Amino acid sequence: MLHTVIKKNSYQDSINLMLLTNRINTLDGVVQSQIMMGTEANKDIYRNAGMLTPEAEAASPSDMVIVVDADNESVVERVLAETKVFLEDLSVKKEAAGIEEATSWEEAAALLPDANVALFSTPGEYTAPEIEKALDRGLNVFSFTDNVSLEDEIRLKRKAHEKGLLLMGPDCGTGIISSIPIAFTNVVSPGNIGIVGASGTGIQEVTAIIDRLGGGVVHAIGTGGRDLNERVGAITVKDAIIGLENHEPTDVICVISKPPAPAVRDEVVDLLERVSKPVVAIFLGERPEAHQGKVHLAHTLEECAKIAVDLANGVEVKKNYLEPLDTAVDAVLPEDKTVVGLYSGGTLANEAGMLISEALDLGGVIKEEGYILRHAGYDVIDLGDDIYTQGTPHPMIDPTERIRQIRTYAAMESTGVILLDCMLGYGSHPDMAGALAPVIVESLGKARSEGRALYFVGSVCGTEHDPQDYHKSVQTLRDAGALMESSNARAVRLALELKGIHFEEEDREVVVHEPKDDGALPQPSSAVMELLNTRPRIINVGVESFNDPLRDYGAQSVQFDWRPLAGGSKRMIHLLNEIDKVEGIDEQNARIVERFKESQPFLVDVVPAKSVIPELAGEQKTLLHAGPPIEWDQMMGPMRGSCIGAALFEGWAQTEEEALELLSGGKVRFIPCHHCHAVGPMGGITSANMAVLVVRNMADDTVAYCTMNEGIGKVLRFGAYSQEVVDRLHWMADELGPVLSAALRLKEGGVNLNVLIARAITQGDEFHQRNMAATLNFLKEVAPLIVQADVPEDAKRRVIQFLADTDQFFLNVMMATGKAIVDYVRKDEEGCIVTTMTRNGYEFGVRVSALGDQWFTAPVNTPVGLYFTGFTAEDGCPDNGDSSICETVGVGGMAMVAAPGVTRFVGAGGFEDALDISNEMERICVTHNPNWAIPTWDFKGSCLGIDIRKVVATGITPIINTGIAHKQAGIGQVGAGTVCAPLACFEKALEAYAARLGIK
Amino acid sequence: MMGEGAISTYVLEWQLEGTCGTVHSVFRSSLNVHVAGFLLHIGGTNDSLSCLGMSIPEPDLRALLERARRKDLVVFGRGFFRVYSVGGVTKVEYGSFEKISCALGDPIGDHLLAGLVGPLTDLDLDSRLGLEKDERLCSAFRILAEDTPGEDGMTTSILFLLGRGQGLTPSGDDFLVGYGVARWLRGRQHPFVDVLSSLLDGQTTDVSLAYLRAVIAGVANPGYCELAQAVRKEERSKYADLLSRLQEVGHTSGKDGLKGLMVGLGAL
Repeated sequence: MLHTVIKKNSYQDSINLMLLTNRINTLDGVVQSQIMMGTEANKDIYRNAGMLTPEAEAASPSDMVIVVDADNESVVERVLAETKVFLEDLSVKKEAAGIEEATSWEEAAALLPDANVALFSTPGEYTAPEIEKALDRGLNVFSFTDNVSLEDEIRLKRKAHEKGLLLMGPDCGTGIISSIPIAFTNVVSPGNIGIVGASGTGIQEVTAIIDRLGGGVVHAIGTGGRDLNERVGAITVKDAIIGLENHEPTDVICVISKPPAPAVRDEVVDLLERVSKPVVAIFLGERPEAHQGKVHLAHTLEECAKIAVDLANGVEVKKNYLEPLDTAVDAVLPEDKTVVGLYSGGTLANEAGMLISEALDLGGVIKEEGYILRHAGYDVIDLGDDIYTQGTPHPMIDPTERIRQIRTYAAMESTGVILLDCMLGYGSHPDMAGALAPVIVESLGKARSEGRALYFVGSVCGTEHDPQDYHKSVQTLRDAGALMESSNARAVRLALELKGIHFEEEDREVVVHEPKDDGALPQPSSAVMELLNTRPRIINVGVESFNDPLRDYGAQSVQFDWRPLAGGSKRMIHLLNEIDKVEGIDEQNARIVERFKESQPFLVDVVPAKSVIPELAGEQKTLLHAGPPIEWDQMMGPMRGSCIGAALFEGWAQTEEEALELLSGGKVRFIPCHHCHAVGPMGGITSANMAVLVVRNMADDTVAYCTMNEGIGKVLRFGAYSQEVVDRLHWMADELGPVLSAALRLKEGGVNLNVLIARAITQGDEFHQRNMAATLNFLKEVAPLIVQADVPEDAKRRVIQFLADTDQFFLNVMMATGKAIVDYVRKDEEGCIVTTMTRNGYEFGVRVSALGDQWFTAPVNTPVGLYFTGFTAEDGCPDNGDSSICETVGVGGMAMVAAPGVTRFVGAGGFEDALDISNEMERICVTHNPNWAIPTWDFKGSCLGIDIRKVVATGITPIINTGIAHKQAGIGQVGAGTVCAPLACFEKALEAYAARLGIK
Repeated sequence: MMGEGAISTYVLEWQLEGTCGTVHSVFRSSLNVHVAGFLLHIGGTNDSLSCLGMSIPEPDLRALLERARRKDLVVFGRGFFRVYSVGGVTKVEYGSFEKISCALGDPIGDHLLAGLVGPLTDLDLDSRLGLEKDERLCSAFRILAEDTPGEDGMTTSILFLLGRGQGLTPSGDDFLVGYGVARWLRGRQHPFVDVLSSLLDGQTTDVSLAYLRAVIAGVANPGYCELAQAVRKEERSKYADLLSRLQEVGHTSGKDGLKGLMVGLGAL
């Protein structure tokens, strides 16, 4: 029975997840499991394995999908516990290593400003645009990542070439830059040989043999296996050759290639012919009969290494490098016995296939899906082929599949020899020899007991400096009964000797080669020469363990904790990448956020709404509401309740029923507050005779309005409309408003709100859920004015008492402040900064600087938080109110860290959670507002300038602190909590913004 | 790297261009490179030149010592060498270095050399040797002090001394170097160099071996060469200073060497 657990937004790289899958599969009760990210490609793997559950089908690329086949559901708990331990171990390792982490290219560049290489090990389907970004940042690229389309590879390699950069890969498994091992690499002595290799394990075999022969390698530039494809045209190979030609410490150039396109191969040989340094090349699959001019051609990887070392030592190249085997063959296997190759290294498997094919005179390698060679029982398999690694680790990491294949072939009557490789080095299994030894012992024992002749013949690809230790690995396999040779070519020769086939190599003379092009060599780029002449400084994008060899050998690296952009949405990734290419957006955004900073809000008056909002002054019965436009039919209970209360307050109706008839009968016009320079809390219902605060932004006299805070409990904004509510509204209009107005008029210019906010944020307010300090500071400002005002004394007393009792009074001041700021900001219609966020209980709406008055909406979320006694989440109404104008200007949830006292009330937990939230919000903002510095954030300013690109790219949406209204009209507030803005409205805005830029 | 330095002409005889070697040993202020059967000493210009090597500018030496590790590959080109280390490639150009001859030169008459015996005796070397003075040592000294020691006695004495003592250059070897210098200056290097050549294999450290091979070839550190030159020119006033500098080499190496010189001059 399949059980599925989805861990939302929990990205891990594929290697970690494959290792985790292996661990989970060892748990008792687990039939099988598969743990992968929810990408489309991975869903195919689930589907093919019969494990695609509906939950897995619905997962996004940022979700970790755990599917477990187990009879007992209790197993799932153990799986989750094991998963937790595994992931925590990774985290601890990261901390112990002191790895600096970035979550964006910008952060990575800030951590390592002089980086010169980006190392990719990310899912192929998302990697091409990321490589492009790295190239655009002037970084050379090393792409371990495979599954990048040939078209992308061609495009990116051309771009790299034009920019004078090297694109090593895609599918570049190994490399050495300035003696620093990169990715799956052996630790090779530094030396004067420079290698260019379109083959990962080919480079490993050649470099390891060079090391064991006493030579050394300064660079081994991997190019990816397709570089010599006709369409790619060896772009990287050629640029790398030119680089090595001009790299002074490189004395010998060695080129390694899988079977190339003939025309491209000839171009490369022509180029090599023209370089000034000694050259050796191997084009696997070719059996060279002579050296071409100065280009020494090798038949096997071992021979290639030997020629390279002779050239490096200034020793004349021999005509023949064939040397006797270490093992003497006394008895030859019968005719019906065959040789089987079970390889983890693709190029080594190719070499075995080539040599066996030549020995059997097959006229070339006979390929069949899943096989390098398949002929009359002579099977050579590359177990690293995609067909064997779907959702499982590469056989260089995990021996499971190879052990299974060994058991299968060793049990076959026809099998006489099983050929093996054992890859050492960084990235490979910590003890592959030890992992294979038991199955070798077991298989040999079984064959012996059945009277069958069976040999294991192998070689270890590695050096004595490798973490696994070459000599120990050889001895382990030898002790298990394997016949070990010092190279793969020699191991294949021994296997053939056991079949009575003696391998010969003809002497090789030098024949004259006239290059077709004998013009001057191209000049290398300065960036490539800088790469070759310095130690690499690497941004590691993907698998964290790739930092290990870099740091062990003294290279600088930073970890880019990469996740798929935009939750993996291809459309959004496309838009983001195209927008990224448009110049000037950052400058526009900088200008927009500057308008936020230069705003100077002052509270100047309190007046009847109809006196300043023309839409409320006419004959037509009109109510302003919160959020983007909405009609009565769509309104939720609390907003409807507020409308009823407003109708009773205005005297349009005497009873609830009359009010309902009026409101539902289309007799009342509904307009968003935001369309009238106003904002309103929760329902936001504002009518003609309600008193509104007047805030003037002195930057250009932009004015904004907001009703006053009524206190808590049964209040209009939460949908209550009892007589008590209506009476309070009348008092606020008739006494509170005029008294405050009279007081404010005594202060020239009004109350400077920037100063008040700056003071209160240092006293623990975030201005959405907590306004205690700001309200008291406000009272401190206005109380002396009220006392001086020419109003009745008892009115003064009641007003001061109300202000003293109403902790949240300043919230509405803050809202009017926010509105006065954004309406000033919105006058510059460029950039992609969010200028409004609001909600009406039905939809969440945003506006964006370049897109003017357009609303981009999506269904609103319901807050999560704490409920007053007697109420539960079942009672909560979806999110309401214009109060998210606070978050728009960088306070409220965005400044959670400023108000640790609030954190628990809104259900977020402790201080660390508050800090985490603000740190996360920082990632979607352009900058900080120095006017409102937060002491608990080391005096960083509040977040400023929500950039829709960052929101969509990261999937992080603004978090909003909010009250929770009861979903039914008339009950009022039932709790408080937090709510996330829905991503969809930002995605819609991004679509529109891209369209405005001419991007389809 | 460029800069002024000095190189022993003995090194230039080895035709290092186009060869590869490895770092043999790395010390606080110098390193040795094993190349083409030769042990090349690389020190700084602040220290005296070794007949086996070169003195390179101090900044270059510091950069090299910071990176170089045992077994690092060293490639020699025309007038330069590169050391390939994990920490990077270090290139030293020595083509323009001052060439210092470390050949001991033509023989000097015994009457002139006799003038050294007194100052050598004044140094009271016996009490400060690295060798334990026992009957076998005294016997070896007596045999070697003869004007024309017999080959058997010389063989026995050299075998006794070769590799005897502690350190990179055991005291017995230092003694033999000094002794060889005296035999060359007296023009009586045979059969000493022949016997020593036949006995060298595997008898002592690589560094000692290199110095012994040098003295077999009539080459020694510049201190000995300068002393020989002073004797040749009868500049007796320089003896004390030159001998003093020679005896300061190493912990006991200088004293052991001077004892060899003294015995080689026929004095005990």
